[in-house]
Amino acid sequence: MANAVVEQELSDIDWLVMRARSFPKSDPFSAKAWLITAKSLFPQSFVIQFESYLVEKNAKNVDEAARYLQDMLQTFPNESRLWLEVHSILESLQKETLDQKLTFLTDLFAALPTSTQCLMVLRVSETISDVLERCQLLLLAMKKFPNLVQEHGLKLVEMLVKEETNSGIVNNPVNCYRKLLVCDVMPLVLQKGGHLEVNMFHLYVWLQRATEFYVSYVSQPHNHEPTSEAETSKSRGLTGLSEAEMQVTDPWGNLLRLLLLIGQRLKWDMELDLVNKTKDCQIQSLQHQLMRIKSHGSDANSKQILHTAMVLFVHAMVNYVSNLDAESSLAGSAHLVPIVLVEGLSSRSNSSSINKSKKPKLDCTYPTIETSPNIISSAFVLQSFETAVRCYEILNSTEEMKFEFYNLCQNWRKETKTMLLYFQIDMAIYQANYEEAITLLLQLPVTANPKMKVRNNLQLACCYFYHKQYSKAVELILDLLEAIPLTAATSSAWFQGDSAEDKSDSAHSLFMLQCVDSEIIPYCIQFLITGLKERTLSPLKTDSLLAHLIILLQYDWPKGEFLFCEVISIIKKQGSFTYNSFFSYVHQVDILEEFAFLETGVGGLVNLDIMPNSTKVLAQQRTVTRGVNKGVKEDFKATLEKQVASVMEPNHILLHRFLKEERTEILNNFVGS
Amino acid sequence: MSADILSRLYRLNFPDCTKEALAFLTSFISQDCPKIPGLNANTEQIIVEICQEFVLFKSARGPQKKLNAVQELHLLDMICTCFSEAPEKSKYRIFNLMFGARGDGTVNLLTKLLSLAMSVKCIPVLFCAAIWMQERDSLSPDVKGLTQRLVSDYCILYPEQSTVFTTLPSVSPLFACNLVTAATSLYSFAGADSLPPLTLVQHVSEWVYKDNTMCCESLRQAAIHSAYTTPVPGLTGWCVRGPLVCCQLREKSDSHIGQAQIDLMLSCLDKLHLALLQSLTFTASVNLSPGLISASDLAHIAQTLQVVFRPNPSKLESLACNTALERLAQILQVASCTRTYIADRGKIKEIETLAKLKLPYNRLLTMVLSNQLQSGRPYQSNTVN
Repeated sequence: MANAVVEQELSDIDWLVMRARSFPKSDPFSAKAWLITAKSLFPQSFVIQFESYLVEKNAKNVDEAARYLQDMLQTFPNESRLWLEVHSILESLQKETLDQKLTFLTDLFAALPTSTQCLMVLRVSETISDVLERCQLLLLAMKKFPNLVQEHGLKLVEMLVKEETNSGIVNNPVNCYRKLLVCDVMPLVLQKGGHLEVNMFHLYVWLQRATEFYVSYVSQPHNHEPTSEAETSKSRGLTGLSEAEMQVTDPWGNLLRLLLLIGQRLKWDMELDLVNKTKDCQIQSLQHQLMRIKSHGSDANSKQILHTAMVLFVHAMVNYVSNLDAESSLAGSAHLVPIVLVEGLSSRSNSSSINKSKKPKLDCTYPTIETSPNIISSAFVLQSFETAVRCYEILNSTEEMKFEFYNLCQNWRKETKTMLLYFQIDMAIYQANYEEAITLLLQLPVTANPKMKVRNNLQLACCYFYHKQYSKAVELILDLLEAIPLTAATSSAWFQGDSAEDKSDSAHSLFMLQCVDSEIIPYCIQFLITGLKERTLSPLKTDSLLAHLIILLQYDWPKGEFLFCEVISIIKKQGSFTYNSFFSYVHQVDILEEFAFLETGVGGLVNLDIMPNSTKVLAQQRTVTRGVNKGVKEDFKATLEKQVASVMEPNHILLHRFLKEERTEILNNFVGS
Repeated sequence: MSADILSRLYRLNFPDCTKEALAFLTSFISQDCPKIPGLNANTEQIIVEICQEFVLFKSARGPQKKLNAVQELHLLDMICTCFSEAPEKSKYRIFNLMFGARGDGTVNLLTKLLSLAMSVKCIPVLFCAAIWMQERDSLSPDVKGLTQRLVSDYCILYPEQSTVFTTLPSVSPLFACNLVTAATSLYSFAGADSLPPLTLVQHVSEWVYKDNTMCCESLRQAAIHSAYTTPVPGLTGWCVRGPLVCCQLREKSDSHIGQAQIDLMLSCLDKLHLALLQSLTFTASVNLSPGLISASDLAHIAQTLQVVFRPNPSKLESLACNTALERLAQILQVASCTRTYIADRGKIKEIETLAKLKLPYNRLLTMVLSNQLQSGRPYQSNTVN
């Protein structure tokens, strides 16, 4: 009876709904019959229609539920309960994994006419105050229903661009808005946008933003260690997306695809269907195309040249630089030690045919690069470098191009700019443009990595040397060698010193070394030998210079035998040779023998003064007595024999000692040069 | 040439005579019954004679020719083929020639023909039969007889649900529609003696539920064939009286129908009721609903309910009566809202009076009726207190 009383107090509408609900699950028909009647009695009642919707929803009737929802959206557009429901449907679309309930909701959404879907997404997205969330919702809807792209694609692009600007994080291209824009929205709009008219100017801006994003993304330092709480929240504030959401799986592939899609829109002259080819294939085709168009030199293609060259450039440049400096990049370098590009130490600095011109000429004017056999995938590194150089040259070939290139690089992050600097240094060395290389090297930020320090100093020394600032160069090399611990094992250089035999011509050649002691030490010594050797041609050459050369040649004996013979012939020509520290540093039997021979009649009767106590001084002491020189000669022979018999000091320790003790003397060789 | 058609046919044996007769009839009727040279006066007569003698085998002269079972099947097959091949405009005229006469005992053959047509899905035969049913009253003895035999064959004798019957609306919706109308006349569900077989109710509720336009098939023919009846009033009667009748049956000790069957029957009626409301709403949306049921039909149903209703009912009976009234109210409301019937204040008043005086109070029916009587004005929801 109490029930009856309650029933009586209900309004007609509530009573009807209550009656509809009163039927057991086993009778789905009666509830529906009641609701049909109720709707017919009160067509303006939202409660009744919503109840009908719920009945269909609970019975998992997708089409029926969709029909009710559709009706309600038209008849009751202002019911908050309806929008709560819509919200939950849209939320289900954003879930990665779907349970049965969520699957029903997505099916329900799919069963609605597109215009209604649109209305739902737009209305709900309007209520979301957070622009990022709103964009994500729109993006999601567009992904599920590509026909929405036509209408909302460009709006979404605008929204993201505007928000990125407003948020003030434009100077960091790796931000959440840019990520959504570049990785999700742009490809979608370009692929599914159909006949969507996108302004040509905008497409170039898109490409620029995409390039900025990807190059910054791959060049950002990768510290995956958990950061402190404060930092995490700060970086989240910056990105607005979780770290997982900010991950890009194939940045270069994506950038190339965007380039091709935009190129298609702009009707660029390029291979058809390139979008579906592999990355390598795309790169190759773009390179060929670039060179081909470049050679035509038409003005109409300047934008294509600019952007193709730009993308290829950043790709090659980042690949190259991340191989140089293993620790600072995330590009997955296989090298644990830095790689350094240095001069090949050919004797061309005194040759007049150095090509200092920056203008790219025929391919044959490019120097050759010999790579250390210890460098993994050296071919790839070299190829990246050469591609980057060619693209860079294209990008700087005209004033107009230069200006555009400058603009494109303007928004790069510090890390990316540093990468560019590293590349520019290597390119300057490659182009034998030492002055510029020095300027750039001095601009490099101070690095905490000792290996990188060595690397940079080695390059600086090279540049000074070939810029004829010999003492600066040698000082750097001596510092370098001194810093290397004595424990380092000696090793033979993989490269051929130029002293072995004269290279056929003065072609510029370079070495690519690994920054490990076993490669640096031989290089430095070769470097000093080369320096000293050049001084032997100077009229100011001294005996100690010749001695230093001989001492250094011992290091990798008998590689430098040829040069040694040259030195000997100079001594013979002079007829005398004075170097009193001779026996402290010379141990090599072949050399000692040669010296013993020099003194003989057959050897040229050279007047040697190489005893620790100068023979001249002795001679002065023994002025009165004739034949006093005889004793001196015997002293020399005895010392020679003693030297041969004594246990040889290990090469590298001897060398280390020599360089340390004779530093001033060695430097003196280069004074005034 | 056709002058001696009769004598030629008489010389032939079955099945050749029938084959030739059917071919002749088809071509003759298709040519708009030209005068047969030399037989000017009694063309009609000859045609009838051919039909009687060689198709129906009801000889006017001489001894009745009796076909055995196999021959009869052969005959039915030939008739089906004849209808399939005849020009569209001639089909019904041929059918009418064969089965148009009243009370001449051709129903037997027609029933067999329809059985065959249903199983071989011979749509023209079913269509013609449907029109034939529509042109006669559903209460006419021929139609009644036919319906009874079909229901008996397919719903009573047939042990399981017949697929031929299940798919009937998709083969010939018009035939299914008119068959349902006839069935509701035959089994009015007004008491134990007019109870429709359970299987029939199961079939019909499924048909209407699956196809919301089935009930208006006869209505769609109204433009061509002026006479029509629709299954909606009869089915509404089932839905409204059904719960009360079933309840009374349940309480009757000598009932020949089991409790489980009653439960099944009621659940079919639940479904059928919803299907009717959905049919009304759906057909209204395609503007096919007007005429499906009239105010007098509804008033009549109210009256029959009152007849079934017994004073001093048990508690269960009260509940069943409530359901009955609510169903009546629902059909009334939805039909009125979909402009299915022409508003007839007099009839509505009649129902209101009846409900007030002879039937228990029902909130929904009161709500609906007062809504109807305030025609034109929107119904005022009664506010609490």
